[in-house]
Order: sequence, then C-alpha cells, then structure tokens
Amino acid sequence: MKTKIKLRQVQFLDEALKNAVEHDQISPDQAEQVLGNYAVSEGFNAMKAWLGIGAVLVGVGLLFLVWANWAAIPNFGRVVLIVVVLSLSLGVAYVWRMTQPVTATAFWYLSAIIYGAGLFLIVESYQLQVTQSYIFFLWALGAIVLGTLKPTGWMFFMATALLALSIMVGFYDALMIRTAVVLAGLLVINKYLAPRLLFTAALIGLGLLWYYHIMQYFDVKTLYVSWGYLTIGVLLYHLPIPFNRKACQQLGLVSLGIGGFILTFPAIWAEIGAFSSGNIVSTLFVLSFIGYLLWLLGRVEPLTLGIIAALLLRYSLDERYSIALRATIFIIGGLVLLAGGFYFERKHHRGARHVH
Amino acid sequence: MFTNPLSLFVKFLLVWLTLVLLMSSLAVRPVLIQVAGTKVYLQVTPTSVRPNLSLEEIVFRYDVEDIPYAALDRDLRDIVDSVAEYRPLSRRFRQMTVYVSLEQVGAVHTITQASSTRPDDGLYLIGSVTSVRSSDEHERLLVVRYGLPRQTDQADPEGRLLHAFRDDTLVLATVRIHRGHARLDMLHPVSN
Repeated sequence: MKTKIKLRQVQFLDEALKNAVEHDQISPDQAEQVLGNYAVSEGFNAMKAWLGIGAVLVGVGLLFLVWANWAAIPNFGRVVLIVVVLSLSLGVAYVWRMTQPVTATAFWYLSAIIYGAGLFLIVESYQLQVTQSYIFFLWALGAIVLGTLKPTGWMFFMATALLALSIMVGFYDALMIRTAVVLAGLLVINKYLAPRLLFTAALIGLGLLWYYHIMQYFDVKTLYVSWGYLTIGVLLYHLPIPFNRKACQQLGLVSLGIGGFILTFPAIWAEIGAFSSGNIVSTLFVLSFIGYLLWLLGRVEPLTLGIIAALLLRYSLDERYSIALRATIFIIGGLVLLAGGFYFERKHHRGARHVH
Repeated sequence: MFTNPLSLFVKFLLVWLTLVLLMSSLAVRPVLIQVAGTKVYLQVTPTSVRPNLSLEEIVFRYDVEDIPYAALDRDLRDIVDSVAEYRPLSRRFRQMTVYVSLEQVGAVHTITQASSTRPDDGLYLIGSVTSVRSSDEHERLLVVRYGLPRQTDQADPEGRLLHAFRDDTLVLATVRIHRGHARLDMLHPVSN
C-alpha cells in the first residue's frame, strides 16, 4: 500500500531523488522504486469544500421549505416526501460516482443530513414518544450504514459525533448498552475499514464520554471517577496497543490529565471520609503526579506541558494560598515551561541535524 | 471514490433499504399500539391551556396522577424514603423504569400498584421516575412520566376543554395500551 503524502512533499522527494541520481548516489531504478512507494494525498480541495457547503445549504433550504409547508401535507405524504428526497440524493450519488465523484460525495453527505432530518420530522408529524437520544442514536446508525459505501470518508466521524450527542442529551439503561455495542462496532470498522488516526482518537474520546456518563448514572463519587480517568489514561499511554498507538497515547495523556487535575483538589479526597481534609493526601498525590508528568516530558510529550500549565494555573488561581506563594508557583511554572520548550527545541534540532 | 463497481449498485440499494427500514422502525410501536392496544380512559390533571399559533386548536398540558406511597412496592418505597425533601433524585433513580398496574373502576382505569418489576398479568403502563413530591396532605408521592405526550394540540370548538381547565372539572384521556406502552388518542372533559 502506498503512503499518501502531500503534493509538495512528492515534488520535494522527486527533486531530491533526481539530485541523488545525478550525483550517482542511487540508480534511476532505485529512485523510481522509492517514488513508487508514495502517492499524492487529496488534501484540502476548494472544489470539495464548495460542493460540501452547497450540499448543506440545499439540505437546510429543503428542510426549511418542508417545515414551512409541513402542516399542509398529510402524514403519509410527509413520509413519502422524505423517502423520495432521500432516494433522489442517494441516487444522484450513485449515478455521478464515476463522472462527478466530488459532487457524488457531496450528495452522499446530503443523504445523511436528509435521513437525520427525516427522523425528526417523522417523530414530529406522528407525535411519536421517542427521546431525542434515540433519534440521534438512529441517525448515527444511518451514518454508519452510509459510511460503508465509502469507508475512507468522514461519515464515520459524523456517526461518532451523533453518538456523542445521543449520550449527552440523555443517558438511560437501554441507551448505555446500545451505545457500547455500536462503539465496539465502530472500533472494528476503524481497525479493518477506516484505519484513520483521527477516527481512533474520536472513538477513544467517545469512550471517555461514555465512561463519564455511566459513572454519573451510577452516582459514583468524583474521587473514583477521577482515578478511573487516570488509570485509563496511564493504560492507554503505556500499553503496547498495536493499532494507531499515537492516537491512543495522546488520548491517554488527555484522560490522565483530566483525572490527575481533578485529584489535585483536597475536597475530592475528603469526599469519601477516609481523609479528614484531604490536604496531605492530595499534596502527596500532586508531588507524585508532577514527578510522573516530568518523566513523560522527558519522553518528548508536548501535551504534558499543557497538563503542567493547567496545574500551575489551578494553583496560581487558588485563593487559599498567599499571594507570595502563588507568585512563586507562577515563576516556577514559567521556568518549567521555558525549560520544557528549550528541551523540545533541542530535541527537534538534533532530529533535524540527524536528517541532514 | 466509490470503487468496487460490481456490487456497488446492490450496496447502494441495501444502504437505501436499511435507511428506510431504520426510519420505519420508529413507527413499529405506534402501529402495534394502534392495532393491538387496549382502549382505556385515564383521569388526567390539566396544568395549562392556551391557543396554538394558528388559533385553530388549543395546546392542552396535563399530568397523569402521581403515585401515592401506599401503592409503591418495597424497592420504590426505599427510593422515596431515601430522598430528602426538595432534593433532586439521583440520575439513576430519576430514570428508573416503573411498571404501574391499572384497574378498572367504573369507566375509568386507576392506578392500583407501582413496582420496579414487570407485573405477570393485567393491564399496566411503563413509566420512568422523575421526582418525589409531597401532597397537600403531606403524603409522599412518586412522580412518573409515561410514554404519553405531556401536551396535546386538540380542536376545542365548543371550548369544553377550556372550561374544564377553568372550572377544575374532570378530564379523561382516551389511551391505548399495548404491553405497557401507551398512546394518547384524545382528551374528553366530563361535565359534573
């Protein structure tokens, strides 16, 4: 499988290889072979963007038009109208797939919008007692089904976002199981059909959101929820997950950052009653957490600088500490961030020198 | 993109069919209720009434009666007992499924018992707990929402619903129930 790189990078590689051939460092065949390993990625395409915006505008316009005259259309007519418009949009995507692939893609996205809007319109016209969560869930299922037509597209992201919405607008026992099953399905799709790094990150994000809501549902204390985030984060970062590891590690850092940040508050520890005020145990935690973050910093993880900055900001704004102490934290924090930046820059230069 | 032309038409067709089926799935339960549901009359309490935007119908808001403490099973009583007054229910309890058994008294069906498990027989409604409140007589009541709309747009040419709301007279809802799921057909004010 060819690695996709930007057009500019291909041109640069081509130039560099030609140079190497001219200086007899490699043979023309070898240059051809190396170049053959890469393909130009599609990248940002203004035409795509225009067509995408066009599709959305048409979709929204149609919906407003239908909405404005909705009351005049009988119930069955409404359903027929929705199905006809959906069929037309999907049909255009099919017919134009070869001759106008970009427009076909725009209609493919439009079909997803029409389908989702159709769900809401059907519920409204028949006054069905269906929760918004369930409608978003059905919309996500539809987006997944549409996504299978073109697995490299962004449709699965849309499905992930819709699932997140369905969790956020209402979380109940049936939905928590359904969402978990669909999330597992999306992970399988991510592994075998659409192995994008960003998709993995979105799915882990959805998993973390699901975890938060399930903890809320069972009224689990913040201390345990935070420890959960911290543990999940550490596992995601350190476990040798063979698939899209970078995404797992970055989301792992986000998760452990959230968990660690919340655990710096003494009140969270005092909540379970085992620690009277929580001051000592939270201080011990903060010290070990910062030690761990500094160790991560040594592994060149720029996100840890963000976590450290958030922690410093949290202490600097905490009015329980004196102004002098808060000023000291500011200075130490600034120095740590400067040192971190300096360290990263040196590493970067060293890497660049190695390339030269 | 859209490669693999051999099976592509079938794939598009399958996707289209799945989307239509997913949309239709929303209508399965309402149709079942309409076809196989039992028609009952429930007493409702009007909470507000106003004309809708087109002024052709009125928007009528109502509540189905709250469940008295005596009608609750042990699990539900524990929940009510654990909740301090004016304190919101935890999310888990707030959305807990409740099965409310109904019994016919005259023409109207009234609530006889509410439990956290599905009754073996008889007519029942499936609802979810929303809150606990105290009645005027300081009795603790469990507030439950069913799969019924909390408001309905209904034609009221003679102003009977409007009067029922103003005069605090009895309002009955015609409801169809199938395996605990309900659908509101109509509201009828009953003259004293």
